[in-house]
Formats: sequence, C-alpha cells, structure tokens
Amino acid sequence: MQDSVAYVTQLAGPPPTVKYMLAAYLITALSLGLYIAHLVRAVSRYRRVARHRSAGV
Amino acid sequence: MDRPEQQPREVPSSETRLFWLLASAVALVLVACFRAIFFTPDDAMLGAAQKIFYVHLPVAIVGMYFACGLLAFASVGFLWLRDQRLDRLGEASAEVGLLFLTIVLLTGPIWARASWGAWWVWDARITSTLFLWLLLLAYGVLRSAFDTQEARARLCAVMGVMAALLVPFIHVTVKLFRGMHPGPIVLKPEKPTLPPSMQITFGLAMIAFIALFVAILALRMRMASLRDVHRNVLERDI
Repeated sequence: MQDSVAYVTQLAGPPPTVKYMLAAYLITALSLGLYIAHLVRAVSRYRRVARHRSAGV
Repeated sequence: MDRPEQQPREVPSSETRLFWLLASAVALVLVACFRAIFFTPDDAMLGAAQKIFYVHLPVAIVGMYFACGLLAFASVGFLWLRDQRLDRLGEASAEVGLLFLTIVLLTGPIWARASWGAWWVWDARITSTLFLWLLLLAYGVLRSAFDTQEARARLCAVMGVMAALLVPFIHVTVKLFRGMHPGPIVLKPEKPTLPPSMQITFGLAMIAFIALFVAILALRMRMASLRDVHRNVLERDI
C-alpha cells in the first residue's frame, strides 16, 4: 500500500508545498531576529547607563 | 639601539567581539538556509515542505539537548558552588532554550499540516516537548517573582534541574509510544537514513545553529552581567 502511494506520488511529482516551507523559514527568521534585536538593545542600554555613571552624569 | 616606541594597541571591547561572533553565526545560518532552499533536492513524497527539517531538527537538538543540558549543568553547579556566574548561565540557557523550542513548536505544526494534514496531534513527543516549553516559561516567570537574589537563584536552580530531567524522557518517547512523530533519523545507533546531499545540508545547518546558539547565549550572559552590575549600584545608592 505504502509503495503504491509512493509510486503514484512520484508519477504526479511532489505536492506543491513551497508555501509551507517559506512560512517555516520566515517564522524562524522573525523569531530569531526579534530576540537578537531585543538583546542588542538591552546590552546597549545597560552599557549607556554604565558609561554615564562612570562619567559622573 | 633604541627600539621604536610601540603604540598601544586598541583592545576590542567584549561587546565588539560578541557582535562579530553573532554576525558570523547569523551569516552561517543564512548560508545553511540558502543551501537548503536552493541547492538541496525536494523530497519525492513531501515536496519543498520537507526542507523545514533543516531548521526544525537542528533547532530542536540545540534547544533540547544543548540548552537544557547547560541548564542542568549550571543549576547543579550553582546548588553546589553558589557561584553567581552559574546562575547567570542557567538563566541564559533557559531563555535561549525557550526561544529555540518556540521555533520548534511553531515550525513543527507547519510540517505536520503539509505531511499529515493536521496542524497539531497529541502525540507523546509533541506533547512532552510542549510540557518542556511550559516548564522553561515557568522558569522565566519564577525568576521575576523574587526580590532577593539568593532565593531566586536557589529555587530557579531546582526548577532548572526538574525541567532538564524531562529531556531524556522526550528522547525515548518515539520508541516508548506509538505516534505520528517520525522516529530518529540522525541521532540513532545506525547510520543516518538520508541521501548524501541532504546529509551535507543537515550538517551545515547543525553547525550554523550551534554557532548561533553559542553567540546568542554569550550575548544573553553579557546582558545579565551588565544588569546585575546596574542592580548592585542601584541597591548601593539606595
């Protein structure tokens, strides 16, 4: 049964699932990008506060 | 003979080094994704959706085994040595692990929809991964619930060990319970069941996501370290 399904799939070509792939890659890029941006912003904020403090502002 | 006077060399700050580490890791991830999308063949049965595998599996391995392994190491280490650096390592591993598991739980249903025709099934591996995600979320909530650093670090270390104990169970769920989730393809005693071109892409993606994990973890630890200095100064001023 499994073999015949695979055979029919091969004859018809793979199903059009590009949109699923693109959605998954987009979600990954967005999640990582947003988190990295949040981290970079937090680090630069603490650095700025530390610099102001050491300058006596 | 007089030596020419040496100019003091400018040492890059730790933030600059972290920035370059992060930029290199992001570039590596982009190369891996580019290769996966454009230079790796489509699966005959699933088509292009199979390429979700090159993100889903490396991110799952790093988020589950690397992040939770480090969380367990840091938590046990803190309970033993009471070193604040280990507490910061635990905090960073839990948060970055939560990020990676979020990606796993978002990309998994997309794969499931293309492969099984359903967004979600209450399969043992999928459900136990959701439990691990909830435990890491609870770890983060618990951290913000305490005012004193000592109590926060101690209780979170216990919680961290509890969360990490779930990982070996998740690993064996596909063998213990019959379900929809595919069994091991790469992490198994026999050779991986993948064609060579797919193996190369998977290997590249694995290296890229490990590098990204290390870079994000280092940046997160730097943030925690700067925040603690800031808090200590505020407490001293009060």
